[in-house]
Amino acid sequence: MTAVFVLTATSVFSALFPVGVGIGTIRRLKLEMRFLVGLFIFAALVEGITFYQALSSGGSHLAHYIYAPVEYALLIYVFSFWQENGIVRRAIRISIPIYILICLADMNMEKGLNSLNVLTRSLANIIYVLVASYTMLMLLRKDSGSIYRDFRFWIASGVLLYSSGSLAYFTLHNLMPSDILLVVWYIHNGLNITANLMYAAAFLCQYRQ
Amino acid sequence: MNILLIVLGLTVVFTVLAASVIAAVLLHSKRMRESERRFRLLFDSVFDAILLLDENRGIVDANQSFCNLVGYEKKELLARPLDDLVVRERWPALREEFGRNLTSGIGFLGETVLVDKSGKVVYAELGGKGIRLNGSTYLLASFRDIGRRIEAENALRKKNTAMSELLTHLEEEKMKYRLQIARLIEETIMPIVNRLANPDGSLSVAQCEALKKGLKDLAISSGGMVYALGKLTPREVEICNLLKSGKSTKGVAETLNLSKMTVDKYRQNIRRKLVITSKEVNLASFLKNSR
Repeated sequence: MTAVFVLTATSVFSALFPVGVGIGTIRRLKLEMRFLVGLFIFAALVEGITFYQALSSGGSHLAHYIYAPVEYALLIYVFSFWQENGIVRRAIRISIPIYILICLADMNMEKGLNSLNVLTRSLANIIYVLVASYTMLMLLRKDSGSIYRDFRFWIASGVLLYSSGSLAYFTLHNLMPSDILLVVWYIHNGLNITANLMYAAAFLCQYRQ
Repeated sequence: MNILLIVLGLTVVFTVLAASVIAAVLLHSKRMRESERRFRLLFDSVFDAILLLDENRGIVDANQSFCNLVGYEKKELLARPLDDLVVRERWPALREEFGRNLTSGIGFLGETVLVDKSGKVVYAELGGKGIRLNGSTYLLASFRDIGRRIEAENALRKKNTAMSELLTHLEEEKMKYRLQIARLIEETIMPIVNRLANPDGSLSVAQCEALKKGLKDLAISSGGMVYALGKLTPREVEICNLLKSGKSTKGVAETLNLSKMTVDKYRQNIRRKLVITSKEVNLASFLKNSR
């Protein structure tokens, strides 16, 4: 259990990397990156709340239900900033209210807030993977050899890695017994730490530009 | 156990896939970087100065040769309009060429005058061509420093002018000599010819001699001097040169280790061969004045 606790705590506290770097560099950040700083502050808060709930063995999944649409709205809006194709940009932005409606409908389902919002999280993860992959391809087309200096690359990489790695975890969450869940939890936390480091790298890249 | 394997398998597969995509992107970017470095090396190493201009003639990229040509750092040139670097009176024609070229896409060649950072004028041969890149139109312009060629041309032009002046002067001299000959014939020869025949129809010996002398004088004054000098012996020519340089008879005798009498004899021969009959004419002065 100690290993799980250490890993989870590290994962939770890793959310502070992008927050710290983002706040430290906020003066030189572009508008969309400032949105991301807001998102990461919110994510760190939700991580903290869920970690506290896990320690006190109580509470509902309300934080997750609120976090999912906020994360989707902010993250997808930021990705829409970077799209050069007008149709893709509009399609991405239109998906935000649709997703929020799905989230609201999911909250009012019979199961209530006692189980994790696997449907909306899985759906969001699939869209994140698609959007991040498309963005990566777009960046690659325009790349002249310095993609690793592009903050968009690091954000897209973090989102792609975390979302694809967590897809199975969220999709099959409610079907898994808790002992199995624990094993997958290790991987999920590892991905979370890696993604947070990538987000922090993105802020540093933008700062240097 | 089965569900664990499925979830683990899916998680690992998705994670590996995502990581592979990221790694592939980074690898591709690294190759692009190497390619870009190679291209940059070529771009900066060519002798011609190359510029990439946008539709408003703003400098998008410049190679090292162009920076050297105009004396600016690359960062000083970027986003700056080319208009700033072209001599004002040359600019309207060049702008017209650029505009025409961007729309037609046909390359052009010409000459232009740039101004470098220190304000010095730089003569350059210019070639331009409109190109499409990432959906935008750019103008690729290459410049070659022709300053040395222009300098050589100017020097040659100056020499041509000098040569032309010299030829005009020669023509004038020639005309002067022709007039002098005509005057000599009119004043010296024609009166003798008129008196040549005696009333009995025979020729006057005295007048014939006078005519002979007049013709010799004429021959000498119209370039016959060279012919006359050609009849001198090498020793006589040597003495002539010493006399021309200002040496006296005594000086010539000492220089050539001859007696004064011998030199006098040489002088008489020279006078005879050069047909200097008048005793009033000094040989040294005559030689100095003759060309």
